[in-house]
Amino acid sequence: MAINNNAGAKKFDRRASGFNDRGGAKFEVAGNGRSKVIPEATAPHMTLMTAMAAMCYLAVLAIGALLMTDTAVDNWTSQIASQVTVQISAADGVDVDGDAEKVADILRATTGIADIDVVSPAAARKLLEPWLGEAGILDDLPIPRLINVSIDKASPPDLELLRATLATEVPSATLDTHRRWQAELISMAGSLTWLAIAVLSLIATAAIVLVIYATRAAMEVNREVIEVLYLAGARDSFISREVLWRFCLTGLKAGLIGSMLGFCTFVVLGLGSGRLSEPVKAFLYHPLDASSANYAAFIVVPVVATVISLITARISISRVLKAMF
Amino acid sequence: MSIVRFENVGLRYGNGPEILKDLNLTLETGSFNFLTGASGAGKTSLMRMLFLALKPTRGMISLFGENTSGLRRGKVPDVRRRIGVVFQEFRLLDHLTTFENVALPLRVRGNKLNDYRDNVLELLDWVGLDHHINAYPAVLSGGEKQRAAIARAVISSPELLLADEPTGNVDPALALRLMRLFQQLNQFGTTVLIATHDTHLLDTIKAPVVRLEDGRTTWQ
Repeated sequence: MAINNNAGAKKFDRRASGFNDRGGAKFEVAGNGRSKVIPEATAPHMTLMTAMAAMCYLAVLAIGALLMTDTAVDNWTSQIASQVTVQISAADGVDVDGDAEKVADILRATTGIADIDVVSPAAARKLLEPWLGEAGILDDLPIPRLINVSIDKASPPDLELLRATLATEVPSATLDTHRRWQAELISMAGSLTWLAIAVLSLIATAAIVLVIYATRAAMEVNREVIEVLYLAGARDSFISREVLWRFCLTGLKAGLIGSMLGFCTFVVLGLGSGRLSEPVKAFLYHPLDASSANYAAFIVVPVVATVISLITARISISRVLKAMF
Repeated sequence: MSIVRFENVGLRYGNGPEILKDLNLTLETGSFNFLTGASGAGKTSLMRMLFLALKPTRGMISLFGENTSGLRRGKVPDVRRRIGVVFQEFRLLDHLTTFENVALPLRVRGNKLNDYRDNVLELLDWVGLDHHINAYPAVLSGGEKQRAAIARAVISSPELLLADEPTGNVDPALALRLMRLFQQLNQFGTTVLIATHDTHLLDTIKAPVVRLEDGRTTWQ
């Protein structure tokens, strides 16, 4: 079907209309002559932006917590994976010091061992003092000897062979590879990762619901305007574009605000971590550094917020328009 | 050749009674017609079906030689762009200036301001609103608003102009002057259908009249 695009004004005679007797004075169009077709003030953009910014902030916190957990678990597992411990039990009839020397010799002869640290009896007592006190009870107790073994991660030793050798040569010695702790830590980290993903999914779902609500409200408030646009020959795509860019901008602004607030929160937490002891910092709380991976995690939030706003608003607008007219 | 054709068209809202029954109506291309009837007779419903804002519950409506019942949603704007509509309540957008309101049909087509500025200004000059191009509807009088609405309806040279009670909110003298605008448009080739219950207007302007009564149409 052909469309007639010729402007009809050219055919009309000003004087013949009977409405203009001012002699054809020229008047100029003020401004750009193209104000927004859908008035911006009528849509609940500020409400949407505030709620979306809060959700983006929560998303940044969830991502940050995930990154911190990941870093801490990495620290724990790498420490555990690079160390094993040999314990010589102080049972009756066992020459603990002699067995410790024998084990040290075996370890030194084993390839893949980077370093060994034979914990002295005095040092072992120091480790137990916080729990048993200094009242002399330790003098009466048989204290096992410990040997901390650092593993060459590049070419680790055959730990099963080492375990068998120790069992044959020094029956009082047992090898603890910490594998059980490592597995539990990895399992815990996996659970925390899924928890963070669940939290992020909930936040994204809430954001989608909010955008749908805001889009519907904006369309309903502007129902009259949209009807006039339809009668003027507007297509769905024209109306959608007029509304969409604003939602896109709202999502981007909310994402940036939430991300900035989240970033500031982690900076403040990082500054506050100065009061924590080194072991706690190293193993429980590892402040986020300014690595590119961390920056990327913060940047991804505004990008995702914009994409969610864009796609959700587009689908929602399309559905509302079909339902309206 | 007919530009509008209704065949056995019926319309009901929801499960209510049929308010338009077996309408058979043909408008010839280039004709000037009135549609009249008592308040509540269904004039506005008929007009809404003509500009595709309402679908008949039965029968067939043909516009520009094409059956509209099978028209896909994406094609509806193409048909609407060949129709100009004027309402009694003007339906100007309050946040746009007179110039922007009149330019709206060209803007929604994706035309650039530089391409349509002169045409819009010329049309506003024709309807005597050249000194109000930057004014918002709130400061225009009823007659000025209606002239702006007429300018908006004709800016894209529609083949069919539908006016629903266009003189309902203006005094009799201005109503006659507005009618002159419609007659001029008709002389340029636009088919015009004006819905009105103003008997004085019907007596003054000699044109075919379609009367809507008891949900059916008769020519006078």
